[in-house]
Amino acid sequence: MAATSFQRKTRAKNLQIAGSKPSLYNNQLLISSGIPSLDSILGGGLAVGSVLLVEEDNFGNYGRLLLKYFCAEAVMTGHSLLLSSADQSPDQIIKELPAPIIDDPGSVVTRPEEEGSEKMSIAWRYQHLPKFQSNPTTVKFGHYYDLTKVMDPALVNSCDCSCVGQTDLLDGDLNGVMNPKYRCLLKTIKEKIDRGGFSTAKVQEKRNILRIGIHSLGSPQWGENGGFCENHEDLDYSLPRFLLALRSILRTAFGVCIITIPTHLFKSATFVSRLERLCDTVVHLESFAGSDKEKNPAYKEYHGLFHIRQLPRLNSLTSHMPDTLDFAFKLRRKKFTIEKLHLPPELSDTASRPQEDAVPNLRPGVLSCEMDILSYPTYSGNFTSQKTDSNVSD
Amino acid sequence: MLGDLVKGREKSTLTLIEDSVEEPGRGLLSCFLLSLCQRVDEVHVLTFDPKSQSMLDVVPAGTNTKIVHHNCQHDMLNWKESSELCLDSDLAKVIKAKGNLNRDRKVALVIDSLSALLLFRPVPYTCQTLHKLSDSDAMGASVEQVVALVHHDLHDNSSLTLVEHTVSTVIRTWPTQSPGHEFCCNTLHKKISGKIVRIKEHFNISDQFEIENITELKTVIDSTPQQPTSQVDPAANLTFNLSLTDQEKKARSQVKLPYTYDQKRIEATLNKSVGEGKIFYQPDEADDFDEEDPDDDLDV
Repeated sequence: MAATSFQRKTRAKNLQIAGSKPSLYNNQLLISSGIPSLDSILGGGLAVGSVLLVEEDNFGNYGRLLLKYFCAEAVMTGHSLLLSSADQSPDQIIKELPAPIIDDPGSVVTRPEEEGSEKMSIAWRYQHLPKFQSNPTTVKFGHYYDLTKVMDPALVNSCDCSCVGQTDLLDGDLNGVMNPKYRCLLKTIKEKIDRGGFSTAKVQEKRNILRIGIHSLGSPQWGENGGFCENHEDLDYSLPRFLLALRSILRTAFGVCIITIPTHLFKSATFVSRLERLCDTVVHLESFAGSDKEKNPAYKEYHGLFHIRQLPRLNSLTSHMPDTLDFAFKLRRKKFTIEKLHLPPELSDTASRPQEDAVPNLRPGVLSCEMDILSYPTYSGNFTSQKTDSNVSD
Repeated sequence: MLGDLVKGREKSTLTLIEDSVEEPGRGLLSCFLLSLCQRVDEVHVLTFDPKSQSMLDVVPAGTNTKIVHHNCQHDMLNWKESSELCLDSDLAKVIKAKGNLNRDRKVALVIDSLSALLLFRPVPYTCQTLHKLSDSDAMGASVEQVVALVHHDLHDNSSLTLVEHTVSTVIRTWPTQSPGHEFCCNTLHKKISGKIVRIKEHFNISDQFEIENITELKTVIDSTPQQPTSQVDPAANLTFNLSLTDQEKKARSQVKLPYTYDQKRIEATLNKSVGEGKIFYQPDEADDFDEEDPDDDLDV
């Protein structure tokens, strides 16, 4: 009998890189974004080799914060970092990274027990059950950070970090298909990947991951004119070309990229959706600061809405779907959390609800770009299964 | 808010004043200029508009030595090829050449107005220039504030959006709605802490170019309707008794509820590991309990 070309499938040896874990869905290598609740929404973390696009809020504060968490996580996990910004000095961003909270997971676990010390008389069966948490916190993956303190400079210096600021971006030839600043940044990223041994083509003894953070890409400081060419008529294709090139570089590298883009500066909706399509994961931050929603009673405990525009489909047709798409974020000193958006309980005695008229649109927009939701995971949370205690039949 | 901004009590590195033909903002700019003359060591005034020279007359003779004037009027498009300021020149370079900049000196810039730059040069160029001028490291001096005027009726919205994105404070003049006030403006201030302040204020400008009589214009429509203050107690006039006395409450707490077993059994249930089920079966009188094994005939 002729020898077949089939070979026994050997289990691929999982890479052991600090600060990474394989996905439970598709075995993709994941790293933490620095915000555990964001990780869980995106299916465990950011897949290595993918690009996360954060569409900035109108004043850019929360977008920058997300980027800072991402960079801080790089320092904590020992990953390499490449940070670029034209609006701010990247060195300044590095200096302002939040300090990590080392002992947080323990304190989170013990607290609910103290609160629920009151003895239940009727529902006594539920007494010993742990308090239900809407956002499961992973203990060893991702950190919490204290925004009131800055990270220890010695710790920051331990990180292999390269900054690309406005002055570094100046050199570059004007003739070409791309804005010289984008071209220059792309070149720097490519060189960093080649020199640091992050490419998958190279066989490396010890692997590390390169985290790339790009702040406020496409702002006027990059020479971007709201997506248009100088004549205000034709679209400028530099930015889409940059994103395409960046993604193709990252696909063959041990790297993850976060880009924040002030998409509210682009007047053309087509242009924005083109940018979205060229990234893997797209989220949009809508801050309440300076808008009417700040005073809206429905949003009282939140600082903004968190819209998911696109979820990554990596090596598969489907993506991980969270069980809801209505999210809101809130910022505490020691925690930035993204939660399911709940309406607050109606506590007033009167049956009429006067704020209903004032709040015509409580539900934030659903997923605005088409996604093939081929399978919706059947959700059986541990919450319900635990509660089906021994039921006595009469 | 406006008074604090002018006096420098509220820090804003890049301030933009947007005016129009109907509501000119040069008076307000003069207020900023005067205040800056008192606060910093050197004020660079860049004039691009024909009428903007008049602003310099406002400054009293004692303090105008601090002012370094850059006039773009002589040679706007660099036809004379002189070394004067023109639209093509690098503003940061021009200011460094004419001024006396070093780390210890506080410097401020007043630009009247950005409109010429916005019309003749690409918008991102203007934004980059503004950003560079406000950056202390790039200028080699401690830049206290950059105040720029722009005529918003000359530009399209998208250009203005880009400039507004770059600056930290936008002050837009509005038609006044109060008989006692001459001016009105809408301020959007991005604090360093990240907080956003939106405020509409009426004010007057005195002969000494100081802001006075600032009154905040409250938004008339209050979105949350007032709750009726006197809530009617539904339990007040009832033919039956709804409330409990302490004695009755005590009696209620002693009633044995169904399915609340004795302490031992409660503990037995609670001590089980989480998620594991256990069946408690209490046959009642009508229950026909079959002693036989129903699976007896099966070969298992």
